[in-house]
Amino acid sequence: MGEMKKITMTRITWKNIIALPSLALMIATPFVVRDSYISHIFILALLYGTLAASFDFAVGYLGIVNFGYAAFMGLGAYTSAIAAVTFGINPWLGLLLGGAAAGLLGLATGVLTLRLYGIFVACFTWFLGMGLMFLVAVTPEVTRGYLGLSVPFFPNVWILDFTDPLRLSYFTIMVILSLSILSLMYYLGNRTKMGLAFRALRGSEPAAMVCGINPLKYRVINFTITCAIAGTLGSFYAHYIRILTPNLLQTSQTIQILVIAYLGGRGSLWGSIIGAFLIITLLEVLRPLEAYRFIIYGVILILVMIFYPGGLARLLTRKELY
Amino acid sequence: MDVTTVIELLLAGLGRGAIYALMALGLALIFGILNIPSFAQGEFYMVGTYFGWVGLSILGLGPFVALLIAAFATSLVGICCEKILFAPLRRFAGEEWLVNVFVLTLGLSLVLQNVALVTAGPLYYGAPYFWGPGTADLFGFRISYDRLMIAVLATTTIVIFWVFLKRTRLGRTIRAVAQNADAASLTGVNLGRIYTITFGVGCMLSGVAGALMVAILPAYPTMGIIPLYKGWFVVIVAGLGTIGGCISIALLLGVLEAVGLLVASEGWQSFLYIIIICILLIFKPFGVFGKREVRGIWEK
Repeated sequence: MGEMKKITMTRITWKNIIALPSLALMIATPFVVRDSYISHIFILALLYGTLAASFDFAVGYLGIVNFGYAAFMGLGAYTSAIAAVTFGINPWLGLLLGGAAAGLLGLATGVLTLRLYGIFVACFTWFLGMGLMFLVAVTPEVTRGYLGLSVPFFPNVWILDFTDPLRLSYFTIMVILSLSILSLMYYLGNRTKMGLAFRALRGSEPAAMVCGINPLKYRVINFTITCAIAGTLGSFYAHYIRILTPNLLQTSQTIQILVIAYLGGRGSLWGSIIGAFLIITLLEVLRPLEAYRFIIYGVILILVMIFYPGGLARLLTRKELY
Repeated sequence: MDVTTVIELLLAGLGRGAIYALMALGLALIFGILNIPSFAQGEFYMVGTYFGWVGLSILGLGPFVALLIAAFATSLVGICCEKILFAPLRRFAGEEWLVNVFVLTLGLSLVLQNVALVTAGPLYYGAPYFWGPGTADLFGFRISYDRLMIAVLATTTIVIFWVFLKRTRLGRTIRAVAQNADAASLTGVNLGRIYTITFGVGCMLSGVAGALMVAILPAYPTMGIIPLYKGWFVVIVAGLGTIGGCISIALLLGVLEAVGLLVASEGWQSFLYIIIICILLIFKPFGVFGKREVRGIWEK
C-alpha cells in the first residue's frame, strides 16, 4: 500500500512540474501569437499526434499494425464530406458519422482478420487501404476522385467562427477532440477491466488465455476503437482542409503517422504528441531545402532507429511505459 | 473479341507476371533469410530502372549489357546499405528487431527516393525500346519484341536464381541459414557474409525487374510503390517461404490483369482484386501455398 501511494505521488509531481505547464503553453501559444500559419502547424501537429497515439494504442498493447490506417481516416473524411455535400447533413453530426463508418469497417475487418498476427495483418490492412483508395479514385461521380471534393466549413457555434482566417476556432475544436480522445485512451488503458486485459495480452497471450481472456475479442475491440478514432479525426480533417483527394488515403500518410508513433516512442500517449510537434516543426523548418529535407528526415529516422531504437519516450524515461 | 487477341494478351500477361515474380522473390528472399520486411524494395526497383536507362539511352549499350549494369549497380547499392545500415542494427537491436528494421527501411526508402529526385530531377526518363521496334511472329500470334524479350529475360533470371539457390554451394548455404541460422552458424557458416550476399541478390532481382521495364514504365523517383505493393501482394497470397508458389501466383496475377483489361479499367480491377484477395485470405489465411509455421512480423 505504501509503495502504491509513492508511485501515485511521483506521477502527480512529474505531471505537475513538466506536463501541465507545457500543455498550457501548447494550448495558449496560438491564441497569443494569433498567426494563421502557427495555428495551422499546431492543428496539424495535434491531429497527427493524436492519430499516432491511437495507432500506438493498437501496436503498443496488442501488436496490431494497421498499415491501412490512413485509409480508415480517409473513409471517415469522405463519409462526413459526402454526407455534408450530397445530403446536407450537419458537419458536427458528420464527426460521429465518420467515426461510425470507420469503426464499422474496422469491426468487419477485425472480425475477419484478427485471428491472424504480425505481417499478415499489416499486409491485409495495407491491401484494404489501397483498395479503398482505388475505390475513391474510380468513383468520381460520388467522390470527384482526383479532381478533389470540396467540403464546407463547420457551421458556427457560439463564439466559434470557423471562417475566421486565424483558424483559432478550429484549433479550439482540435484541442477538445485531442484531449478527449487521449483521455479516453488513457481511461480505457488504465482504469478499466478491458485495459487490464490489453495489458495481460501484451505481457503474454497464452498466460492471458489461461486466465479466461479471449484474445480475439479484445483484439477486435481495440482495432474497432482505433479505427473509429481515425474516422472521427478524418472527418475533422475533411472540414478543416476542405479539399479531399484520394492522396489522403495513400500509404505515405500511414507512414507519416507510423513514424511519429515510433519516433515519439512506443507505449506513451504524450510521446506521440511531442513526436508530432517535433517532426511537423522539423519538416516545416526544413521546407526551404525542398527534396533535401526528406533526405535529412530519412537519415534522422535511420539514425534514431540504429542508436535510440526505443524512440523519444524511452530516451526520457527509463521505466516500462504503459 | 477473337482468340488471337486473348492469346496475345495472355502472352503480355505472362511477361507482366514474370516481373511481379522477380519483385516477390526478392522480397521473400530478404524476409526469409534476413528477417527484414523490406519497404525499400520498390526503391531498388527504381535504382534498377535508372541504371537501365543510363545503360540503354546514355551509354547506348545493348540491352544485355544495360541489364547487367543495372543488376550489378543495384546489388552494389544493396550491399552498401546492408553493410552500413542493417549490419549495425543487427548488433544493437535486440527483441524489437522487426519493428526497428521495418522503420529503418522506411527511412532508407525516403532517402533513396529523394536522392534520385535531387540527382535526376522530377522528370521521366524512359527508353523508346528495350530490345527493338517491331513485333515477333510466334506461332502466328503477334507480340512486340519488347514484351517478348522482357518475358524471356525475366524467366531466364528466375531460372538462374532457382539454379543458384538449389544447385550451388552458396545457394545451399543460404537455404541452410533460412532453415536455422544458429545451426548453420555452428557448422561454420559466416552469417554476416551470407546476409550481405543474400541482400545483394534480393536487390539485384528487383533491379533487374526495374531495368527490364524501362521502356514501358519510365524511371521516376516515386515509381517504386506499385511494384513494391504488387510484390508483397504476391508474397502474401502465395504464402511465405514458397518460391514455386510465388512464381505461379505472380504469373496468374499478371495474366489476370492483362486479360482483365478487356473487362474493366485498371482502377476498378485493382479494387476488385483486393476484394477477391481479402475473401481468399479469410479462407486461406497463410496464403495459398503457405505453411502456418513461418515466422511473422511483430511477434515476440
